[in-house]
Amino acid sequence: MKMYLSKIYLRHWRVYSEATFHFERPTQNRPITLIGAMNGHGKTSLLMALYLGLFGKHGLQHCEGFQNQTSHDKKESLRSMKKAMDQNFRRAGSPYEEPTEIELVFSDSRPGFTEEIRIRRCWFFDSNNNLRRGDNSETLEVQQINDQHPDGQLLDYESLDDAHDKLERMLFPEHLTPAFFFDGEQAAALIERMGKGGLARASQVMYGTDLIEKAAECLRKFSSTTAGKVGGKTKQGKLEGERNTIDSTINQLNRELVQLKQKRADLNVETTAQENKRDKIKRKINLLGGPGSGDVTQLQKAVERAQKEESESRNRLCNGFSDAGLALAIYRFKEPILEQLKKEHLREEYESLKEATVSRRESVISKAFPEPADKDPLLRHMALETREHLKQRFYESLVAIYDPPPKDMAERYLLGHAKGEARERLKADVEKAAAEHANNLRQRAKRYRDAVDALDDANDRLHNEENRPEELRLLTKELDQLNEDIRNAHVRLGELNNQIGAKQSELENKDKRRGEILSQMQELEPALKRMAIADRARRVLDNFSKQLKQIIAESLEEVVNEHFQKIAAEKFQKGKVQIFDDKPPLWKGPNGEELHLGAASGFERRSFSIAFCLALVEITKRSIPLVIDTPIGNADTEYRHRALKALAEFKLTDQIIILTHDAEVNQDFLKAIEDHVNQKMLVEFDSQTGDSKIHNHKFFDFSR
Amino acid sequence: MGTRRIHGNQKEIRTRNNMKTNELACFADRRAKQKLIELCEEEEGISTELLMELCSLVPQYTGKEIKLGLNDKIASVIDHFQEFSTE
Repeated sequence: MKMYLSKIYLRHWRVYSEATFHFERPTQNRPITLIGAMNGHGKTSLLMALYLGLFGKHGLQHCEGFQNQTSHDKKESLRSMKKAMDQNFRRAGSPYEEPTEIELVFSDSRPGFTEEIRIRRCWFFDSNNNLRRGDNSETLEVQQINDQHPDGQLLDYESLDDAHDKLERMLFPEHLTPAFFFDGEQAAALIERMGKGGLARASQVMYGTDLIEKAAECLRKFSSTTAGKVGGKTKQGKLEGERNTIDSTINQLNRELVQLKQKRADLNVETTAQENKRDKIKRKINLLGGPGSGDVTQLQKAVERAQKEESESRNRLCNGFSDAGLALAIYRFKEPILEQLKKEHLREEYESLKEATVSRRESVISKAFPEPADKDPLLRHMALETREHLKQRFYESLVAIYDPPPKDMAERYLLGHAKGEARERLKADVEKAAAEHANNLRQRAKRYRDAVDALDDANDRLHNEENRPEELRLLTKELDQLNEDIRNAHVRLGELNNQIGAKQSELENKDKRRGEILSQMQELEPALKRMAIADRARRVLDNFSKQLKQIIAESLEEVVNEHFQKIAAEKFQKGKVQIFDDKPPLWKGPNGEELHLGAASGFERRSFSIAFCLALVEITKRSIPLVIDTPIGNADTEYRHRALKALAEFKLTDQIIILTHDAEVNQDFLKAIEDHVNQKMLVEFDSQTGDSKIHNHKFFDFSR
Repeated sequence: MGTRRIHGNQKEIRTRNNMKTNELACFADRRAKQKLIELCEEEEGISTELLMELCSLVPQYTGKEIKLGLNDKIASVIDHFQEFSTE
């Protein structure tokens, strides 16, 4: 934003009961606003209003009579402000309930732009019209109007000191106020302050070196936070170390795998050759009548083993027979015994039924032929003799049921001692004994048969081998050897495959871990890159910050000299102004003579101040309005021309407000700068009302 | 549209990456700028524009203490710059 002062509103302020200065938007060719006022009519009041309106108690030290006041001690500064208000700034006779008020409006000087900063400061008084004590004596309202907040946004601040810091950031540092709003007194004070660290403070706030330092600090914190978060270079080093170890292990494993695979391939080739050879030999053997059984000695041994086995199994079988004894006999007679037991069971059942029938014959007959006979309703008419015959027949018929006995029944009891359950147990025992011994004998017999077969087989092979032709025997021997070799080769191949599998598995694990490491490193890489860049930027800022003060002094010196030489008297133009950080600026002549500018004449001080403020604006490219009270005073004609020309032709600031009296900018000088004047105002003090009034577009009447 | 004022010491500029940034007053000084370019590009091999962009974050994120999000913003500016960097 290029600022110009668009309004100053004053109420109950020194000679002004209520007055508003409306400043028109300046143009590049017409930056000057001339405010004419005779001495005592309100020029300095206006200048003071700028100091206090902008910076309150901090601005007090730039006002005449209060230069020694400090704003650091709160009580002291409140006391000073009270004194200043009560004795100097509060307009006498103002209604006590109405505050003294200053409102300053800075506007964007570019056509069409509406950005504004409005600063309104009020001081409140008690019934004796003395400034109230304490914090409620002063209020400040700062409002920013811009695109985002077209209706204005109030500055948020915690205290007046906080607001002061923020205002300095928005506008310019308070201690540089005399560089922009000044008269001869402020010019001298500024020169003194420059030697007391003023330049350092100026560079800090005006040039933003404090921000450079803050930026370096932020970058330092960024690097350390990032390093803390991702583990930083230590972690990267560890990961790289582990990756290198894994890489070398992987290389070693790959080499070993190549060797193992080569071995396997060689062995496969060798085995395939052996297998081909074996197939050829097999075909030859078949052509010669089939494969042999191998070595004769081996075969003889096999025969011996078979004979031995045959003999042992035969003995075991024979012993089995003799051991079996009764069980064998039982096994032999199992079927007849079980048959006999079954028949005896039938006989027992038959006899039991028959006996039961016979024993119950009398009671059955008595049911059929109830006594006495004459009472029998069915057979009472039957003759007694007939009745007896019938009874006898029936009696005999009952016995005849069991005749003849069943065919399957045992004729007699051979195992009559075992009846009922005892018989059943005997049957189970016979079955069990027969089965056990039968199995045992069956196994022995089978083994014996196998042994006999094996013996026959061994004898046959021995016989065949002993009778085979020599070539076949050699081929068989070679085949055996080949079979043995191929078997061994397959065993070796199996071992190789196992080894290859183990190595491949290890390789896969290492590859997986390597992938994890690379992934972690990949994640780490952007952070490390950022850290490296942030560190480099921080180093630049650190170095820059160290060198900036000197650079600023050199730049200021150069540009101040350019402007100073345009304005100052001829004798000063041959010398050079020197600016230091630790002492006030001085002028050094061509012959080495030195002049402390603070002790120079009023013209030189003003020349330096004008040159200094123009240099600040030029270097920092900040368009700050300049308000200069009687810039040329009653200096000689040549100086006045030069100073006014330098101001009028300075293109880098939009607004230069010159407070002047009729003896300073007289008709001749006005003519000389008329083309650069944007607006004229006249302030006149009315001695009857004791009030100064503003007449816009009016200036001194030089015709009178 | 008015130019956004971010800080009293700054004016708004645009970098080659078309990112808005703010130039500190000291960067406007011919000597200072020359020194800065020398330090950035010759001594440390980083772009002056990147540095200015990093500096422009400070007033937005600092006050009595550093506000949350500054580190993310720094990372984002560096990443953005790397992405468009011709280096």
